[in-house]
Amino acid sequence: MTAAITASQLTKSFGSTRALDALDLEVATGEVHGFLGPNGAGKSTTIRVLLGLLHPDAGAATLLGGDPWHDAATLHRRLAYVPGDVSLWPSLSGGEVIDLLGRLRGGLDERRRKSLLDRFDLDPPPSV
Amino acid sequence: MSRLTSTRDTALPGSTAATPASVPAGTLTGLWPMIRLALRRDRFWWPAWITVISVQVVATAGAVESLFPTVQSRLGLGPTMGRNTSLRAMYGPPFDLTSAGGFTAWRMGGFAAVFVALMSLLAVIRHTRAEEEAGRLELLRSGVVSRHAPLAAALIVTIGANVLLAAIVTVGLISEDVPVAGAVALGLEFLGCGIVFAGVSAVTAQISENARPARGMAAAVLGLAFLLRAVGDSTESATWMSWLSPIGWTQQTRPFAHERWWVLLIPLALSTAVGLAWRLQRGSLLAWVIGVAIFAGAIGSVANGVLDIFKGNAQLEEIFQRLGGGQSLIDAFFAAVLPVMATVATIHTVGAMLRLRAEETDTRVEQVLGTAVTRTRLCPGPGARCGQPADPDDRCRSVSRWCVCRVRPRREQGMGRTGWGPRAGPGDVDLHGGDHGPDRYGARTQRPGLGSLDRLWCSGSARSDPAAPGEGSADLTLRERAQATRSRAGAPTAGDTDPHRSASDCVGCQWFSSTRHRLSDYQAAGS
Repeated sequence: MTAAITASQLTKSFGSTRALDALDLEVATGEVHGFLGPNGAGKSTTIRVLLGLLHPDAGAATLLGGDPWHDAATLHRRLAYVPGDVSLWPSLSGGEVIDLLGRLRGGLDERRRKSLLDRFDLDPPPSV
Repeated sequence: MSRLTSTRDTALPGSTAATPASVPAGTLTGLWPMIRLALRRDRFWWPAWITVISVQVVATAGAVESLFPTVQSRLGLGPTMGRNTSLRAMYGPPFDLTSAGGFTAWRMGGFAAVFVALMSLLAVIRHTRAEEEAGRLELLRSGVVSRHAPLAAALIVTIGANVLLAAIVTVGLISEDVPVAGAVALGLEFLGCGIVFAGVSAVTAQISENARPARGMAAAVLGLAFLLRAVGDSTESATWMSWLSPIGWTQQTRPFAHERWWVLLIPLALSTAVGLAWRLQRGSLLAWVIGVAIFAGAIGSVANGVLDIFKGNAQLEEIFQRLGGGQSLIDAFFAAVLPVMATVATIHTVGAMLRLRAEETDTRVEQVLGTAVTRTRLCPGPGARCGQPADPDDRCRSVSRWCVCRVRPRREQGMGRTGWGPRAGPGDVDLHGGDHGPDRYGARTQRPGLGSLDRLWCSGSARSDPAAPGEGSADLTLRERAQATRSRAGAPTAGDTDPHRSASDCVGCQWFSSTRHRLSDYQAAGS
């Protein structure tokens, strides 16, 4: 079974702060992995490296079999990222945000969108 | 009953589950959604800026016609106003003041170019560094978006808006019966300035970590550009200086006066390579102050020259009074200048006020994204709410005033009430035991944890918590109080969630007056 996520000796510093210090991580395909830690442990940094938002100083990471830094756009088609703390655009309506995020992932299935909205009892105003 | 969907949903129709190698992504994947987002967000911003600037320019052309209807009345303008160094510093060298177009290009060319530059500068930063600060860029880039797409989209939208502005100015001027070539040249002059400063702010956005210093730096560059031009244009021996300034170059296209089209190639060549990397101190206030001070100083120094030219020249006096109004000529001069300075100062002030609002309502991203919880920032200005960590060895007199870390809702209205974080009230963490209802994880805690001592803040919120006997008005330090409460409440059990560590939206504590209660305060007040 291939690993969905691997990280080996991942290191990242911001100035004098070492956020990641030779982190090794492996998440197998099909596994649900809880990645916990107190503030400052480097969780967000790791996730950002995996998303291709940051380039590690040392070490390597793979995501879904690809290189997160170079293949970011293609890999992101196959994943969904939900940040823990989200600020959204104040001038956009809920429906527009959903459409925007869907567009950024290559499209939304209308039926599924509707069924999820019903399930969560959300009634966003229609996009203009 | 709805059918439960399987947890292993297949890929969404419309997207492929192909391996990365077979679906290549270009360097600008995701550009179009980013452009759409930028336009949607800015649907009032662009029309407002473009309308104001273009109306000003076109209205000037119209005003010249009505103020100086005959060519004779305009003949006097050239020799008298044109040679004056103060006016050259303000507006630039006049190339042809006898036509409405030439006068407009002189009067509005430099100024409107400054505003065009400001518009471009603010827009690029808004869509790059400011988005990142708000945490939204991360959300966007977790989609099918390449690394360069956000910046590219910002630049494309900005440059597109500049093109639109140039077109509107050109068409507007043509409708005021000015030569077409001149109108086009003036429009392109603005476009050139806008492009250069879009580039400048793209660079400063990369250099600085936050949006505010980026704006400040770019604005300071703009101020310097104006100053260089002003000095260059007003001094005979140093006209080369105005060629250093983007505003100066673009003015040299000489709209309406034998246009020199080749000058417009300069901004085009440099628009991707502006590398002014001198770092002013972080702090946009300082940069703004410097920029405004330079501008003000320059204007003040040339103002003295105004009097000289008017001596004995009654015709010019009359002209200037008609343009600027006011009794004395210095006043008239300043009446022309002060609105601009007031605008610049207002921009900063409005920005500062909006920042206060932003500090209150937005999550502080730096604290949230995985780095250690830092000390909260200093107040951005008077009247805002500060949170400052208290020294555990501070002494607080009364129980009701100590050490509550309020877990603030993320927004005071709107989405904040839909359950993203504990509300102030039942969600408050304090150092007394009790059942505070389920926290956001659904756990009921009998006694909330204290967190680490360095997260105790002195809070002025007057919760009238009853003092424990013997603890009431003793002047214990915060540390002692914390320990007393901890022992009174019993040791935290294993099931406790530590709201301080898990509630990463604890942005610090509020107090409603600047109180760090010290014993001496109480003694002085006689309480």
